[in-house]
Amino acid sequence: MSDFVIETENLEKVYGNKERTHALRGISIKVPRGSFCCIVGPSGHGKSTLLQLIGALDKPTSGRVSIDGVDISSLSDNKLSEVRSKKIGFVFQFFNLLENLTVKENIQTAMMFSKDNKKDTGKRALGLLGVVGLSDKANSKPSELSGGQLQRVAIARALANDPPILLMDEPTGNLDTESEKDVMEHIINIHKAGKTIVFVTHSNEIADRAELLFEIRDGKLKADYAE
Amino acid sequence: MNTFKLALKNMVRRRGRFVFTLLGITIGMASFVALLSMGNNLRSEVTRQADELGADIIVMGRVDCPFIHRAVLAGEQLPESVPREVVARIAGIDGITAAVPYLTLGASIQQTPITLIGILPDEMKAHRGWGVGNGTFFESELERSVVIGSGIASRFELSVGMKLTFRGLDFPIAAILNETGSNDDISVFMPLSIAQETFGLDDYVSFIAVTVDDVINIERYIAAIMDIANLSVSTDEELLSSVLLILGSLNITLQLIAGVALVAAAFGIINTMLTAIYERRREIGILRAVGGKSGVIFRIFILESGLYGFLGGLFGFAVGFVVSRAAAPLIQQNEFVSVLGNPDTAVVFSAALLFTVLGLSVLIAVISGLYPAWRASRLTPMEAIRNV
Repeated sequence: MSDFVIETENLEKVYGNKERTHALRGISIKVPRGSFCCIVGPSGHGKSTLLQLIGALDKPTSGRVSIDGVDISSLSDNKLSEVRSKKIGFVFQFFNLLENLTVKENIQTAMMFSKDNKKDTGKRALGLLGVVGLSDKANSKPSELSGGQLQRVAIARALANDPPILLMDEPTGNLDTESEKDVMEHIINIHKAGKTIVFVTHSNEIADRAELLFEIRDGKLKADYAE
Repeated sequence: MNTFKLALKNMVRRRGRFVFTLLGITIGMASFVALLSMGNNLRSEVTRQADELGADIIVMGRVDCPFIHRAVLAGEQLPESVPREVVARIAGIDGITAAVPYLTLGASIQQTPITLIGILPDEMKAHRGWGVGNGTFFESELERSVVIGSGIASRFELSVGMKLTFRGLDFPIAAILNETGSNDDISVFMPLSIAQETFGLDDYVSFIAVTVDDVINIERYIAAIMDIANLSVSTDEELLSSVLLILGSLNITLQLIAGVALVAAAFGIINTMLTAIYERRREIGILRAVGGKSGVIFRIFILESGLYGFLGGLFGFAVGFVVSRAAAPLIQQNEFVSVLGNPDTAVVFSAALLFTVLGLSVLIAVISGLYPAWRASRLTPMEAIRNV
């Protein structure tokens, strides 16, 4: 097994046909297994695009992405879904929970897409809510929760299929200071439990806690720093 | 949590739209159920009447059309157009076992229209195999009394000895027939000569029901009858097909109307599901992001359409059932299809009909959902999330 759970090689992403926007220009990074990495840089310079390509949400225009040693750049749509289900947990800035489902059902929804993870989903979802300290909110609807609580539910959902990698796109960007602190505490605990975390952020405070930092500017990797 | 539960939750999320889409397919299926079964019941009712007529050959006046055929089968009023003297001559043809004249007249009891039939009592009793419940059947062909069907007796609360008035003359009820299950139950019978005299008619009858001993040679008998008089002669099967031909076109019309309602309902589903895709782009993206394959999205949307079909079929069946019963009295106003007014011919509950309706409804809904489901499943996770 490779020491690097995520590897990209000359990753390029171009949007549009007539008016072409170069979002990424030849990015090559390596993320060690079990590390806590941050991707930083100004808005609109390609951080989220990089995260989406790593997360198999989108396909690169050229270059290569490997997740856990498997090149996902040329996988079919269905295979990419499997990678997302097994290997990756996503946490978005705006939570992206399904409003008409309860908190528990939101977590169970992620479980139902995993081939070998369909048993006891209710019990396991409750367990994950315990990890993020929301056991008492299992039957609440997202509209009944605060921003911090919503993000903790989103984290629990990302952990639904016990993926080795968690990708987080500014998960605290929409939270107040207190909630940010609370959510970060849970993220750090999850990292300590062995998960690889790739975290897009604007916050210097969070970036300071990273073991590895990638700075993206104009779609290029400007620098990477080890702790 | 599974795709079925997810589809169900999505479906009822927008209650107004859910109700109106469901209403569309419910109305479509209800009209399908009501119109189709009315058509089919009409057909089976006419076939039953033809069976009950118990005649191999019908001799009518020269005016020969499906409306007349229909009136013969239903035992309704017909013009007197066959000379009575023909009856005995037909009965005298070798191989003819009976020639029974019917003079069907319009009359009323307590201001309610009924059919009064002038008959040759002994021939008719033997031909129809009547049993007498109460009273004494006509003892002569000149008896000034009436015999009534069991349905007439119960509907107007009549009993033997009571009097009915026709054309200002009183006629005591001599007997009440046992229930036959045919139109005889809802008719009043009077000796032929007395009926002609009462209604001021010449010596004519409406039609003659003929039975033969050898149905295979029916054409020979028809020719023999036509030699006797210049009349219209048909077999019971010809009579039935003539009526069914008209009913067939009526059925097609009814089915087309039901079809239009179903097509409208199908477009309602397509519209609802396409709108749902635009509203739920973000949700589709989330499902894809957490590992949902395009097939799962397709399945959720198809399930949702199918559920509309299932529920619409279920409610449509129930509504169609109620509507066909409520509409029966209105349909009675049309003479040709008046038989539909009989509550017994409204939609009859049957598991087979229910399953047919549910199957058709789900099939239409699933077909309607194919395109929206395909569109939804083609959305990439980023396309869906980005476009919110």
